Amino acid sequence: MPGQHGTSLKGYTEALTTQLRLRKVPGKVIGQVIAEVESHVRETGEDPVEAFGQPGSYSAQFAGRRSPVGRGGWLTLDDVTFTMFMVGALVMLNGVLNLGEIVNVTANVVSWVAPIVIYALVVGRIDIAVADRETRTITAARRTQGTWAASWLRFLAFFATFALGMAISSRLPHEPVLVSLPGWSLVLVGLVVTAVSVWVYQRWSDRIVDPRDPQ
Amino acid sequence: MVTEDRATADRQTQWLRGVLDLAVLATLQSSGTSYGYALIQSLTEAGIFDLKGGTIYPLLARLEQEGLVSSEWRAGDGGPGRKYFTITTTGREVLIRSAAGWTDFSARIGLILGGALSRGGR
Repeated sequence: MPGQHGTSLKGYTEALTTQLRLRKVPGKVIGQVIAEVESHVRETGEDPVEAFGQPGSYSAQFAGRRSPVGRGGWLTLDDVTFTMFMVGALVMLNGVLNLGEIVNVTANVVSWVAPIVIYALVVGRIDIAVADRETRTITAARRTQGTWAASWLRFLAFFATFALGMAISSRLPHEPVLVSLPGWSLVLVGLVVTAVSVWVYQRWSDRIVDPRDPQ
Repeated sequence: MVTEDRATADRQTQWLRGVLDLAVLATLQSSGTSYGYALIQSLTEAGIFDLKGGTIYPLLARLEQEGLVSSEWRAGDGGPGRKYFTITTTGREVLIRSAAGWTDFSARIGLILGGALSRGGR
């Protein structure tokens, strides 16, 4: 049920979670903070913004001396696992398209990997900026505009990545051949790389722990 | 008049900032175990008004981090689960020490301000 500021509890906790994440508050602490907000608002019926303040300022109280909103380094786990996943998917697609044939993997492969890395870094940073702008203060109109803008930027960046990959690939020589592999083995390699990227993300990402869940 | 009321409220907020943690510890000591909203209600009944969840919960988190209170989530009776807080032994020691310090400090300030009051009354 929306409160005086037009904020539903769900909308508020989502925005607060994003702000806490952006401020690098550990997942365990985020779980505690969100559970307290939900418990308090459900019991009192108060407007979440009225009771706790805007998500940006409330989250800052738990950030302590941690660095302000940002990505936490120039290369994050998200960047690495996303790049691994995309490269794995590309290798798998290549294998499926050449299933009964021998595929020559050349040094030209760099022309596809480089744009994917650039995509992960650029889009990741755009996402951070948009997420911060959307959730720092609760404003329904801004949220809608921000979400649309972010979706379009992601869409454009995705196609720009492939256009860049194709442009570089067409200009670079397709030699020397690094290795020749049957198509089915590329499918296997791609599967392994994507599976490892998912496993690494699941294993090392700082997950939010709800203290009310039985351990 | 409104500006004067605002100035008084701002000053009280500043005073409270330095002593709210002790008020919370004292409330927990007398009630045994309590949760965020009940603590706000107890402090409001004691005359500390306009306390919000946004003030109490970060303070409780800090007290827990410093080992002055411990906490436990319990399922509610048909309602939302609540996080219950209990003062620890360290918390009791800090409370006794700091309460004595605050009483001493406020007595000294009281003497200074009391003198100003009596001079102003003449």
